[in-house]
Amino acid sequence: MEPNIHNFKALTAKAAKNKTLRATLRRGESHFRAGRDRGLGELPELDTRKSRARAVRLRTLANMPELLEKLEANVIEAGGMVHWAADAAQAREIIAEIGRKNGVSKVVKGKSMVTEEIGLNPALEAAGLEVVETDLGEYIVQLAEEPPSHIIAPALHKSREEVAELFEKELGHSATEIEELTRIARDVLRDKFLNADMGVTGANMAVASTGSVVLVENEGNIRMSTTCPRVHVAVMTLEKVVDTPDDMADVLQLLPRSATGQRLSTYTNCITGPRRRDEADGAGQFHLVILDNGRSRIMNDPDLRETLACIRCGACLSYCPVYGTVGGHAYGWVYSGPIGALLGPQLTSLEEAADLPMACTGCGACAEACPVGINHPEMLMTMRRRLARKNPTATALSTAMAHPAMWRAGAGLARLLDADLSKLSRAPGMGRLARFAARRNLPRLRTPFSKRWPALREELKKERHS
Amino acid sequence: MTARSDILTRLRQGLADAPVSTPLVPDRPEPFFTADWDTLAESFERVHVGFTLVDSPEAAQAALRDLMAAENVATASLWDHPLLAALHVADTLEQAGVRIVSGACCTEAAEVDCGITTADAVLPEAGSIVVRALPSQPRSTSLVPPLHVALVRKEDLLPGGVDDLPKMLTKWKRDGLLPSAVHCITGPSSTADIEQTHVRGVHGPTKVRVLGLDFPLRSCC
Repeated sequence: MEPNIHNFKALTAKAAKNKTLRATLRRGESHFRAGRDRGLGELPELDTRKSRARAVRLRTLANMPELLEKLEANVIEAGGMVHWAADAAQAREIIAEIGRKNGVSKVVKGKSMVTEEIGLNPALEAAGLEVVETDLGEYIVQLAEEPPSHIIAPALHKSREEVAELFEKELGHSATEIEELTRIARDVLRDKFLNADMGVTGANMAVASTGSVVLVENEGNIRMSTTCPRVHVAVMTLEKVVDTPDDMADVLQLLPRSATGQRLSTYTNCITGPRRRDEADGAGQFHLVILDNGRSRIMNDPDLRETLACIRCGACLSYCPVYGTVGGHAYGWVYSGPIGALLGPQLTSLEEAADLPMACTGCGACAEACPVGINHPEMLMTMRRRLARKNPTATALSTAMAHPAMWRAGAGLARLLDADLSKLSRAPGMGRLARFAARRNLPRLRTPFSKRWPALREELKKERHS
Repeated sequence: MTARSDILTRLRQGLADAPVSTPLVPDRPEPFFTADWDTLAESFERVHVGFTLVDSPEAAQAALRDLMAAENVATASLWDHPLLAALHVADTLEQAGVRIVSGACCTEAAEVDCGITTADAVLPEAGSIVVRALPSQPRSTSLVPPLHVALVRKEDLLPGGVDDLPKMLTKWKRDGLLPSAVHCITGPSSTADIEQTHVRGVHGPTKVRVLGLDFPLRSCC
């Protein structure tokens, strides 16, 4: 998917006006919050659990190169093949080549944010392959030719009426109830699974010491995608690796609870290599694509690299007041909400995505919700500081604020010329500052308190005496 | 190979310049539930798994016959497992008019009404049946047919639940390798992707039924 990440303001304005979307977002928000609160609330010694999961993630960051090498060796030991991709283009080419070599014409896909990130579907389609998303939410957005709008609920922005209309138009089946709509998708996709040559999935984790990928899901589409087709390709980014099955268990105790409130998702799948020679089903080939696409650059940025500790439970989205108002599409790319505001600028460019770190109220609800203790607001502030250093207006303002005399002189002048700050947005030669003013309700510049105080004191005195 | 060495070199460089400090890890908490039938029954109820506890082989067979009749099962495929053999599951099904078919791959299993398995382990607090792929244990049996029936023994209940999974994975190694697939199945396949409304029965089974075998099985397994 092509990043439209520089367009946050326009997309936000559009989203904020969409009342249906806001109702849908509110419903999603209360659903996911209630689930998460229940799921984590049921787990005794939660702080210990969180500390353990956080430690797992930080060990991944600390030992990433060794863990990736260990993972590679053990995947190969289990009969799988490992491919390294520096960027999206390489990953697309690797996967298309696996398809070509194996005479693949039909591909089924499990839900995966990373394959959205690398724009895999259009690339495979251009190579002449049929590609079908099989997670219900992903299937809906694929039919609608829209990007997903939530990490764990891709079609969160769609109402049942919209899905019904879409199915009628694209599949020729009409239904109104959610159960019927689900059944229609099941029937169409069942056929796709049984005839597919290749299944492509992401990975929630990869266990270095056993060479396994761990995939968590509710629908069974990932099990179908790894069981029925001849070839299974799992795509992971560098930071998905953990060391041992014990590490996996520590993360599994929190991931589903924090995402949906389930103690475990319906299916927790641990896939190690291809099916063995004597087994009846399962993919006969297993390929693991280890993708960088900007992660090693993030790792080289000590102030921001904790972004990569994320386990993609989506809890930060459910608690973010900005996401809750504008939804996922406003972020203009695959990742939305607080984690998207962190990842987007780092995976594209801070300048291009400069609005994303600004779209944070600093309330800290995301950091509180995060099961592995990522401090999103702090890292977003770091990004803002970096942006401000390159911004002449911000630099001028901060210099003035640091020098009281300069600030008083400036404020006095402004008070004289435009006390209501109403002309600022139209003032010639004010460029960036004028644009800043145009989008905001600015306060009136009032007389400083020190000057108002003598009169105020007299007034209060009189009140007390009367 | 250049992508590989570039990535690893860059990671090593970054970590050499500024290592990541890792915190001390607190001990894993003790199990917080009792691994018994009651805990399991309660968990199964939450995740919409029908659960019947039976106290003898005869009761198990009767429960199976009832289940096949109630769900209108005409064809079933089952794992080649000593526990199912000891309980004469195949004979029981045939007596109930159910035809046994191989169903050892997806296309075959797609024609079958019911898949019958045992459990390699059970997670009592999550309400999960853990199955591993083996030559005698195809993956499709618990996945493709609309009804999945699992027979579980009390000794399969893991006292630590999810925390005990790593231990089991190690135990299940063959030739130094984990099974090609291990699945924790927690209820029928489900989705909430449209308006967060929960619907059971998507790509996997619509129904999961478990028989808890509450009697000693000396002759087998």
